[in-house]
Amino acid sequence: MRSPDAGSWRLLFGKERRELASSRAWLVSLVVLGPLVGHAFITAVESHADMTGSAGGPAPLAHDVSPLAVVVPTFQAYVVVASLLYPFVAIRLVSSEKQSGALKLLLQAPSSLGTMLAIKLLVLVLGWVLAWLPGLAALALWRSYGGQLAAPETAAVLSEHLLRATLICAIAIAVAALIDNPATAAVITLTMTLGSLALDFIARLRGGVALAIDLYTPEFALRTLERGEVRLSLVVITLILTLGALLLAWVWLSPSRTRRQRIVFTLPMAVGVALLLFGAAQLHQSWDLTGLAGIPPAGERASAYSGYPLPTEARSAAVIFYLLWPLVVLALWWRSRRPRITQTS
Amino acid sequence: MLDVHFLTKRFGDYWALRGASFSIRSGEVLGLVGPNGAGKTTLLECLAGLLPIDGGHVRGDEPLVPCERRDVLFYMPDGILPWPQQTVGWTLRFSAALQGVTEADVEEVEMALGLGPLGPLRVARLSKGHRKRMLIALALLTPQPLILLDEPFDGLDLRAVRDIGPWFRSIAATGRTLLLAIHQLHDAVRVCDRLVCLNDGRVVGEGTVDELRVRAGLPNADLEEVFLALT
Repeated sequence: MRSPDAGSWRLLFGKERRELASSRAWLVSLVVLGPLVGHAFITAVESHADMTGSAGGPAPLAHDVSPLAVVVPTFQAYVVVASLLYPFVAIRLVSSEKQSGALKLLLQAPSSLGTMLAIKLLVLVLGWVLAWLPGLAALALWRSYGGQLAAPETAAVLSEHLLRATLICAIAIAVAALIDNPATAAVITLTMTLGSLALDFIARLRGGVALAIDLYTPEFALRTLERGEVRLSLVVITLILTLGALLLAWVWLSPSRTRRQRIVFTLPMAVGVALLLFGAAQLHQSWDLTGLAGIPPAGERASAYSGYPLPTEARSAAVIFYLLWPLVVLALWWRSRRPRITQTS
Repeated sequence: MLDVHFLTKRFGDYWALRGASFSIRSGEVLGLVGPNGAGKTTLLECLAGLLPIDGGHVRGDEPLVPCERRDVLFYMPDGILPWPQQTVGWTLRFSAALQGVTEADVEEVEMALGLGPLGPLRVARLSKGHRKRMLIALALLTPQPLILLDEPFDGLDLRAVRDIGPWFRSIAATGRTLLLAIHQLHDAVRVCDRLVCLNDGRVVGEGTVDELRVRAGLPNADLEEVFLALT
């Protein structure tokens, strides 16, 4: 059998990168993120000023304000986009090749289907990291205004956002592999992402069975990390679900298997993933990052917050998010549309 | 080169292939002809391993499982539009590079099919005939010795058919084998060395035009009459 060489990886990576860059769904996600992140950031700074009294008023909550009080709400914009928009980007990368017939050509290439799916996921995740630029710009602005950032906790929150987006992309890829119609695939994926958000909300309100199931959702993992706590079980659960979704996509995209054979492959695989998830949930190792951050203890925070950024400073940066970011994204997209013939990577 | 033995394929209760058997000889242009719904496309997809078969087998020197067949043959479907947002030039070079084919081969095929000037165009903007030329180019920019082409002349104008037909024969003369699923009989006769006539999922005739005439019992008839008699 012909075996793929290292160049195949580069070629497939380049192909996925070009397909992502030409995706209008990705363009819309990027453009929308600027105003969303800007609004979340400005609101977070205003809330922070109200709680800490740094704007000159009373400071009723200064003792309890979290060192992540700006990071977490600013990056909530990414929860919205990852749940509602980015699945469309991932579905397009799979469905467009199924519908255009390109998949039939790729399946006859020396590269394996597993490699192709892994590269698709990698490019989607890198695309997601690129979409972090407005969020990272907001954090940089916060620092430049004199605001404090706890590096380990911030890194933990960003890591969880990355894991969450990776899982959502993998699920979207799997659903697009299972369902031929991209609109139906989108509805199913959105049902899962929105269902996960709703389940987390219900679990927090009522507990009980919902809370037991919520343990396996990325929202629970994100919320835990937003408190500065890293639980090994939650990271492993997210990784197992991601790999399980990719495996499902592999089974259902593989040619020369009947539907019955695919179902026969899927059922034991689902049982295996469920067992692994149950095992992962038993891991109790965790790390509390709040002690590593160099943030003042809760009792000393009130004085530490004097001289913190004022909402007026944050509002003055709105032009970056509302105007500059969308314009830069549109300009880069327009430039990337210029035909280039010889480039294959 | 390849022997196809009693291939069967069923979609629910509908039998698309009912034990199709024929042989493919090295260096020939073999035409697969048959009426609509005869099973031509299904047969090609089964051979390429893109559809699971329900029975029968394909063998070279020994039986070949689907992933082994991909080393021997490449199948180009009809009516696909791969990577519509990319340019023709990029699509050809990407596919060729992925298959391990050189830039010199790409330029040669581009020239033969008149695709050079279309390089900067996006695939989605191509006319039907130009799309077909690009698909033929993608099929030939592969290293496999056997190429399966579904309706290679569909959408091409008369001049293009007259140019590409002899070019196919020159490719076969170099040792590559072409299996063309064609529904236009006069195109099939003009280009192909032998014909496999498929009807209702079964091979009802295989051989040269003269051999098919004998099989149909119409030694002086034209191919259309032979075809109607066999199907």
